[in-house]
Amino acid sequence: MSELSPTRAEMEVQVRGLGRSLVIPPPADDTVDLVMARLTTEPAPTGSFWQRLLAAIGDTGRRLLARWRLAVAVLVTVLLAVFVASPAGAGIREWLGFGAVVVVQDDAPEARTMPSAGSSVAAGLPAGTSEVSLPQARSMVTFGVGVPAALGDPDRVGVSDDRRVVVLQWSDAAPAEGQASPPVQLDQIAGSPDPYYVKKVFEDVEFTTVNGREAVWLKQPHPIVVVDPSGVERTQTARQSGPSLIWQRSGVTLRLEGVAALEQAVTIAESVQ
Amino acid sequence: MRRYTPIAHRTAVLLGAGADADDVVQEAFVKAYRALGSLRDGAPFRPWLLRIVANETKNLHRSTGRRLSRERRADAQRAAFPAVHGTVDPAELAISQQEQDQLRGELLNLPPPQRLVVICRYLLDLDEAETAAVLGIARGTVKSRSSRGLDRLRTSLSAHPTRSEVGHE
Repeated sequence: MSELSPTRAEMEVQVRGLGRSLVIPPPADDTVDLVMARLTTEPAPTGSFWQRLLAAIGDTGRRLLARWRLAVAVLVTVLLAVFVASPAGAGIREWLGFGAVVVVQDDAPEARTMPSAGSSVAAGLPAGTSEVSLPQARSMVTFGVGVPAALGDPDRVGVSDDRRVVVLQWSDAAPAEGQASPPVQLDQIAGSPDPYYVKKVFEDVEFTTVNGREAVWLKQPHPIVVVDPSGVERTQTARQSGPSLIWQRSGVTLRLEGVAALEQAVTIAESVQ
Repeated sequence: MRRYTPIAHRTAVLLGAGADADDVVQEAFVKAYRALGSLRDGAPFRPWLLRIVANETKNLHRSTGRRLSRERRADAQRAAFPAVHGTVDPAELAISQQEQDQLRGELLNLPPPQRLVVICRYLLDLDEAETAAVLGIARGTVKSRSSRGLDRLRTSLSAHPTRSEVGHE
């Protein structure tokens, strides 16, 4: 190349210098406030994931959400938790880090070991859960505990120490193609709209229905974030999981793990009585 | 959001939003919020946001309804492009006020594709990958356009011997 003056590198330095010397009026002071004012009229991001997640939360949840500011905060917290827990989340956490919304970051499950293949549900009950009988469980919690007729009575029943979660386990239910299948676990989490199990993913989410209502199917194991109404993460029940189906029933959030096929999981879910 | 307002605003101004930069930034934030779900897991947030800013700036030109001729559009950008004031010690920049003005003029004369890349790379200090993401072009294209843009600036600056630097070549 012919020898020009200045060199390309010098040119680069000069242009950068020009950039530093440009006087650009600062952004308007009220930019953030104006954006926030506009966002308050937005129910939630309208990406398909959000719409469907909202739909999956169900009518009851939405009615409550419309009424209760706290509930809205919880929902936003839950939605944010999805982001914040993802690699892209750091930027968004700062971007949306405002006002009453509590942002929860889920670090704990990262440190835990991934479940070994073929055993998506660890044997035994989760930490912070006491084993009880099914009738005992029913008497301990304030919500109706359902049992899927497709699986029959559970082999193990647990209630979380705060009595907000009931865990049912079947050790060898739903055998797939003659092979011994991993234990199946059904969690039932008290109350709507709180707390929710939230998954750290949006890719990998498949939407389906249980009894005509939207449900979420996650094929890959994902750490779980649980946020209570005050925005506090429930680390005692956050854990790794295999494929899982999440749906709602009578204001209770249900999560089924350990069933490999979506159709089978839906069949089990629809048989809950 | 406060963290990203300055860079979003700077991007809007330098890409030609001018006095409408605040509106562009506001609109971009709202659109970004609505589109949060489309931000891929693991994708960096800043270039994603700046791309929305860049598109909003482009839309601004379109929505003003004026079918601007090429010249008038260049005028519009020139007017939007801020004038240079010596807030930084020129000695620090190794470039005189006169050279800055000249360079600014030549930069505005670059063909738009090259100009956009040069603005992103050197005035906004974005790296190649970010520039590619913001402008929606391939990384190789960023490389070639920035080289060609810089070369063109060198050529045109050399062609005008008003530069004080010419003497010590």
